[in-house]
Amino acid sequence: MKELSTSAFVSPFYRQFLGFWVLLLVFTTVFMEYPQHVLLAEFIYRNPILPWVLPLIFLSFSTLVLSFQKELLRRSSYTIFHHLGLWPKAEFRSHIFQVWISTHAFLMVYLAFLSIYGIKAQAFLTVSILWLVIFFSFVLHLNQIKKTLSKPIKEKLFSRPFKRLTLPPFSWLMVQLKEKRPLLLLSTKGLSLILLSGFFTSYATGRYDIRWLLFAGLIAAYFHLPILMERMKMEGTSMNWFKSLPSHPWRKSRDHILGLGLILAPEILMIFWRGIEVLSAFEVVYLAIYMLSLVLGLLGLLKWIRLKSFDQRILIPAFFIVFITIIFYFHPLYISIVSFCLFVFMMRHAYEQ
Amino acid sequence: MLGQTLFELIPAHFLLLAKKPAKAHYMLELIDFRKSYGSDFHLEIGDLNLEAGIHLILGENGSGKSTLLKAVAGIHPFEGEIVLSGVSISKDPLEYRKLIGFAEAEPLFPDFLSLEDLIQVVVKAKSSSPTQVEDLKETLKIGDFSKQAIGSYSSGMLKKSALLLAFIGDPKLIILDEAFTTLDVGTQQSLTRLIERKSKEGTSFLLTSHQNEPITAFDFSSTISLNQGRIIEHEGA
Repeated sequence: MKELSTSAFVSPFYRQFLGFWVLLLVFTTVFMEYPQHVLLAEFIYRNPILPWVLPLIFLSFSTLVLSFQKELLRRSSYTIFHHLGLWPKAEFRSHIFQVWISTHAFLMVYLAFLSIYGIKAQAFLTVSILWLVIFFSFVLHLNQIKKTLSKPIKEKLFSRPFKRLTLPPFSWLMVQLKEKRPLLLLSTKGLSLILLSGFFTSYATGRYDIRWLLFAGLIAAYFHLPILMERMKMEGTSMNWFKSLPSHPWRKSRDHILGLGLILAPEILMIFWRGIEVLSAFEVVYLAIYMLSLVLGLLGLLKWIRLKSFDQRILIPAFFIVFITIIFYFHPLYISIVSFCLFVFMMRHAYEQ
Repeated sequence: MLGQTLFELIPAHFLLLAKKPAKAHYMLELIDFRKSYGSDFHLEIGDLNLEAGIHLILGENGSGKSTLLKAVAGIHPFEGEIVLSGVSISKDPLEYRKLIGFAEAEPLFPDFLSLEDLIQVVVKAKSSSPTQVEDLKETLKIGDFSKQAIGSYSSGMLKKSALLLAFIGDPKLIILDEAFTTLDVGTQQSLTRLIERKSKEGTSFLLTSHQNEPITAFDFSSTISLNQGRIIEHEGA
C-alpha cells in the first residue's frame, strides 16, 4: 500500500514541480555549500523576525501540497481514490501520513537543520512554535482530505477563452498550457523575463558587448525547454489525431512559428522595450528574430531526437556549441539560419508534425 | 352538538395524520434533483422513486444519463437529495457510498497502476473477501493482465476492470453505464448472468445501454427515458 501511496500521490507532486525542484537543488547544492547553509541558519536566528517567517513558509508550502492533492482527487482517472474515504480510520491516517511526510520531507529536513542552530541560539520558543505548526499542518491536511473525500467532489470543467470564436491551431499550445500547466507557463515566463531584464540592466552599464545579450537569449531559449517538451507530449497524446493528417510543410511551419511566437511574445516585447534604449533598431530586430529562431531550432532538435530515438542529453552539447559560436563572434544571423534550417528540415514531411 | 359522534369531534387534520399510509420504502429516491454545468447544460429530474430491481435508463448522447448516474453514485455534487435504502447522501455520504458500486462508460484509471492495486483500494473500502474478488475475476474472464500497468490495457480490459471494481463488496445498488460496450460476446453473456444472479440475491441495478441485444435478457422493473436533461417517459413506475 505504501507503493500505491507513493506512485499515486507523491510521484505526481514531484513530477508536476520538477523544474522547481531541479532549480532548488541546483541552487542549494551548487551555489551554496555547507558553511553557507550554516551562515544562513545563524543569520535567521540572529534576526528578530526571520524565525517567525519559517512557520509561514511551511504553512504556504503545506497549502500548496494540500491544494495539489485535492486537484489530484478531482481528476477523472482518480475517481477510484474516492474509496479512500471509506477506509478504516487507522489505515486512512497511515496512508495520508505517508503521502504527507513524503511530500514535505525536503522542507522538513531543512527546517530540522535550521532548528539545530535555533536551539544553539537558544531560540526555544520559535523552534517549538515551528514544530507545533508542522504538527498542526499535518492534522489540518488529514482533516481536509477526509472532508474532501466524505462528500461528492466537484468535477473539473474545462473552459476555453473566446467561446464564440474558433481557436486557430497555433493557439492550442497556449490554451493547453493555460488550462493544464499554468504554473509551468508562469514560472517559465517569470524566470526568462527576470533573466532578460537583468542582462539588459548589466548591458546598459557599458561593460559588455552584444554577445552578452546573445548569451541571455540563449539561456532564455533554453528556459523554454519544459514548454517545448509539453508541446511534444501534447502532439503525442491529445493532438495525435491531427498528427495523422497530412499537412503541408508550409502550414505546419507557420502554425509552429505563430504558436511559439505567441508564447515568446513577452520576451520579444521586452527585447523591443529594453533594447531600444541601448541598441540600434536593426540590432533589436535581429535579437528578437535570433530568440525566436533559437526556440524553433530547439523544437526541431527535440523532434529530431525523438525521430532518431537519441538521448536528450544532446541538448547540452548543443547549448555549448551555440555558446562557443557567440564567444567567437559568429554573427547571430548564422546561428539563426542554422536553427531555422534545423526546424524547417524537421517540418519537411507532410505526415510528421 | 349532542348528535355529534366522538369521531366527528376529532379535528380533521388529526384524522388526516392518522389515515396517512406508512411511508413507502423505495430502493432509491431522488428528491427535487437538479444539476447544471454553468449555463450550458441543465439536468432536471425532480422527484423519482425506484423500487428494488433492474432499471434501464435510455437517452441519446448528451441527454444527461452519465451525469445522473455519477450523481447517484455520489461522485459529483448536485442540488436536491438522494436516499438509497433509507440512507441519505447529504446526511451520511460515506455510508451511502458504501452501498453503491459504479462502473463508468469510459473508465479512466491512473495508467501507472495495475488492476491489483485498484482492487486493494476498493477491497479495503468495501471490506470484501479475497474469495469474492477471485470469483469475479473468473466470471469476467480477467486473466494475468490484472498485474500489468493499466496504461497497457485495451478498452475491453479497462471495461472489465471497472466492472469488477463495481461488484466488489455487498452494494445495494450497482450502476453500470454502458456496461456491455467494448466487451467480447463471451464476457457479455457472463456479465448478463452475473447481473441476473446478483439481482436475485437482492442487489438493484441502474443500467444504460445503446446495444439492444444484451439488455433484452433482463426483465426491467422500469425504463426511464431522458431527453435534454429531463425525464420524458418512465415506464413501469
